[in-house]
Amino acid sequence: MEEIELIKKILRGERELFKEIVEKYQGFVYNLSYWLLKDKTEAEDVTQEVFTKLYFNLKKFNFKSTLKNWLYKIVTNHCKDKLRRKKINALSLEETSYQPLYKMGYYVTSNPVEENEYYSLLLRKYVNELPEKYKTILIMHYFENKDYKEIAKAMKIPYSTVRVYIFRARKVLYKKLKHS
Amino acid sequence: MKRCKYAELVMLYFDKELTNEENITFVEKHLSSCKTCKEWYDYLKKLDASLRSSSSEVLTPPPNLLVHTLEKIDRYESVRLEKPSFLKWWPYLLIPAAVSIICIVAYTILTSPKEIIVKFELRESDLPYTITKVAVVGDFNNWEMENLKFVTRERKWSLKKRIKPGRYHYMFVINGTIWLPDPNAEGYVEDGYGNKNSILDSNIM
Repeated sequence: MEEIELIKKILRGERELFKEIVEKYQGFVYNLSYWLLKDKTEAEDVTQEVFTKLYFNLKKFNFKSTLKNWLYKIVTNHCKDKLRRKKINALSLEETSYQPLYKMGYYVTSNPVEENEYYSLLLRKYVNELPEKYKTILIMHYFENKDYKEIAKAMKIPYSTVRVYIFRARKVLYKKLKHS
Repeated sequence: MKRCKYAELVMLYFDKELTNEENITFVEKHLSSCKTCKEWYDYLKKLDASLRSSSSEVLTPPPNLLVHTLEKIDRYESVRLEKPSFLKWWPYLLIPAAVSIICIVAYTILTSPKEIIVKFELRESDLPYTITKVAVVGDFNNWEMENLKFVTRERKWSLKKRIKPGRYHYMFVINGTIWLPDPNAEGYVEDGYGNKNSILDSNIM
């Protein structure tokens, strides 16, 4: 309720109140960006860009949803391009030779740290490519350590839907990893 | 790969979403015998290891992030405000432009003289000769012949014509050769060659 009031005030012209929103959510946005990109500098950039985007698009806010859920969308969309570019950078080295090793995440080469990183990024890229409705739920589950009930509450959807979406999302990831 | 029908149950077990003891025991037993589900379970573990963030990993945003973010917004906003104002208000120019166009068009339509319909008629009985063709020539058609039609029932030649209001001189041309003034004209005027032109004046009509 308070948050909605705050947004309404900002929209009415009290622009300086936007600082409160940044203060409240910068930790969340920064950590989520870091979780997706595994890079602090990039996470910082994304955070700034996401809030700038939010500021100029605040009038599009759907008051039925929450700001946090909306931020999930903005951050993941914003990271899409960055993850795609990352993939090129990270994989152009020895993409083909790595291929079979990553199936299901079994690594057998000499540099497990690098590979773990690779696998982790690849996975995040795949997560970010999931359909919007699965994506947010799965990220909530892993990034915020939320259980099904908590996700259902945050997203305002039934428990059974959360269960089905998480199952489907994981199936999609499973297939992608198998075939990558 | 074909998936076992208990895959979802295995997932719920893994996520500790199973509350029923019987189900838990069932999944545990099933996992020891189903290879597909074991693989699925290992994959879930792997996902967890790679994706789940531990509480120790929570980062504190850099201290100047807030300031930088707000500065960035300010910068963007000032750029937006500095946009040549013309770009912002040029659409408003369209309004007076549209209004003036509408006014000009309306003025032209309203002030331009409306065309009127006049009827040229020549009765067969008005003339002593056999008529095969009657045309009208005048100022309104640059003295080029326009044929009248014969109305059998009324035994007359007739033509309806749309012209602008004004005063015109005209004549009938009978059988393509004989020039005659209209016997029923509003008036006549000398043409300077010894003949009389008929007069058509819309103001008198």
